[in-house]
Amino acid sequence: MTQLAVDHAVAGFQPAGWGAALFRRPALLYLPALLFLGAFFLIPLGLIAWMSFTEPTAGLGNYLAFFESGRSLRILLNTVLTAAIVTVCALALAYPVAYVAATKPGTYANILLLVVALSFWTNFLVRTYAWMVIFSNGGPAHSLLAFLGWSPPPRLLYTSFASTLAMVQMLAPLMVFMLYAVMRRIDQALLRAAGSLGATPARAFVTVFLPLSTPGVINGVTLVFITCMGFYVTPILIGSPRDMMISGLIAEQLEQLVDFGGASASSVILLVFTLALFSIYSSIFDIEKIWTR
Amino acid sequence: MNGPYLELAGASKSYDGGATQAMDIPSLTIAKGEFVSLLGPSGSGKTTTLMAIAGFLKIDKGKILLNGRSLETVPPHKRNIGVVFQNYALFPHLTVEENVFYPLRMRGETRSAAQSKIDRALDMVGLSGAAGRHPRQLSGGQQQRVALARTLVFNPDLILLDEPLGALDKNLREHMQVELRKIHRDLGVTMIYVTHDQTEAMTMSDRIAVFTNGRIDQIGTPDQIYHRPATRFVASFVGDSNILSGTAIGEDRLEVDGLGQMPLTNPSLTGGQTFDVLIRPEIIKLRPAGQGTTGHDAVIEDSINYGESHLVLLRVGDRSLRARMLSTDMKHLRPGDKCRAEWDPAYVHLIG
Repeated sequence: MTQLAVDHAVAGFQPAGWGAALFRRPALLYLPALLFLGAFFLIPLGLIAWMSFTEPTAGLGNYLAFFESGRSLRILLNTVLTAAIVTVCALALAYPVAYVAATKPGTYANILLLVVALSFWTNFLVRTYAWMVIFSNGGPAHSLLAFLGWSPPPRLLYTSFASTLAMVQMLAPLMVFMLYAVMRRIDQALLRAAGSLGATPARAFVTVFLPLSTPGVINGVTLVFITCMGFYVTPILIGSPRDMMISGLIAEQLEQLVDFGGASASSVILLVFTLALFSIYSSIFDIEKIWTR
Repeated sequence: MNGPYLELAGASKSYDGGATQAMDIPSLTIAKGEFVSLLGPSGSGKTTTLMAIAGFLKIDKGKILLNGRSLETVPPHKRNIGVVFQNYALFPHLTVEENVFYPLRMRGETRSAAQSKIDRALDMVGLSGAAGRHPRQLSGGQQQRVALARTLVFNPDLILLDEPLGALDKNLREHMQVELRKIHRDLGVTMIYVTHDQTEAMTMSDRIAVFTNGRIDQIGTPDQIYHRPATRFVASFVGDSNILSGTAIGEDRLEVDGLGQMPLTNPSLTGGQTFDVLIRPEIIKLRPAGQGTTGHDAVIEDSINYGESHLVLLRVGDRSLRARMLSTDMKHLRPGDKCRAEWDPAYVHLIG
């Protein structure tokens, strides 16, 4: 029993009705969220999983087809690879930004964070179209290359380079926020302490700041990687059709082939693959322990 | 006293383009092996001074010399000065042992070669058993000891302590004060101790520097600071006090505002000189009214019981005075009682 409950019992207070039920079983508070998730997430997900085994005929046919097709496997591999590249690039870009924002508080840091937030608040589709304009033939990026003497400049739009760059831009703010949240809590006195104990600023960073920021790195990498695995609009609109990502494959199966079973199987494979990666990774980094720190 | 070991000469630091003087020290010298406290209210410049010595803050003007060498161009990590921070600043991702190893690691020592030093430092602060634990698993007092061990282990030329006991409860603080003094005595290392707690400064220090508004009002032994404060601020900040204004009439008498004439044992006053007259509460003696004719008529307005002593609030004429009486001397005196207040003029100090 909680201390509060004991106090009420001592005072002769007897909660009644709904209040009493909640009082005895606070777990009931989960109920609304559970009902919502059940109706709009778990049941549809179950239906997709069911369909992947039953459409058009019962069995493992859809999965066999996926794994027998070289193209599907290449797309899955390309998805993982792209997500990995995007994650690493986003981390490399975001770390210095988050570092400056977290350790040099002031107007400059606030402006930096505002710029990052503004770009994050702008709709994904809008940003994708913006990138389309930038990369189009005769667009700013294209003209810049021409101006620098690249003649004729290479095509930029509809390349993996363009879609990867655009995805990095879209996900880097997320990485900045995850890093910033952790870095902000790192006591600056620790770096001064390291200095007084004989560490050069560079060694203080490597031996103190970097290890203390790893929970942020782990959170950011997880979130960006998983988000990127499911990206659809950007690679479709900007990327090369030859380097399709798995969401593109699912859409193609649905819209062009009307293959509900195949699309469901691809979705389940993406989900299982993501969960598998996440569990491997959490067993390596022991996420629970890091979060309680 | 030995020659100067640490020397600040004309060292100053201001903010807002000179509008706020954070620190202005014409001269401060500290001998090797001394325990000196920098005492003052918050914002008085004591921590600024400490951070300037540690090298975390660049002074605008002047010099800081350690062992005859100017520290101006020496970055913090090359100063070999240990700092114990207010909130300990232990590395949370390292164990106690790794924390203590850290300064040795930065000096290129291997773990196996350093082990005996680590053990000795942890032993010195009584934490040998906690070597493998993480800082968050330790109490505040234990964390404080680890911070101390981490500083002692690399044999610094000077140890700076920034209100190191501020976050501990009273009993633990007194216990740590005794231990710190013992460590200081055993190692003979020079220590500079920042505190706003005057009792702490009194009990621990060889000398105390009293700070206010970025300046040092007085530097001296605890006795000098307490009994012969140089300024009204020092008199009021250190210990409990009654400060009255007085004017000399002749060589050895004083007209004290509200109390009338008072004989003094200090000779050689010049008539007309004005002073702040410091009467410490504990020099005041109280007798029930009607016993003798010396001293001043007083009324006890209130009495606050501290166990071993009472703080007695007196009214003498139109003046309020604070007196400190042993509880054993308070048996026959109650609030509202009339009494006579008297003190030995030899203990009265003039601030002029």
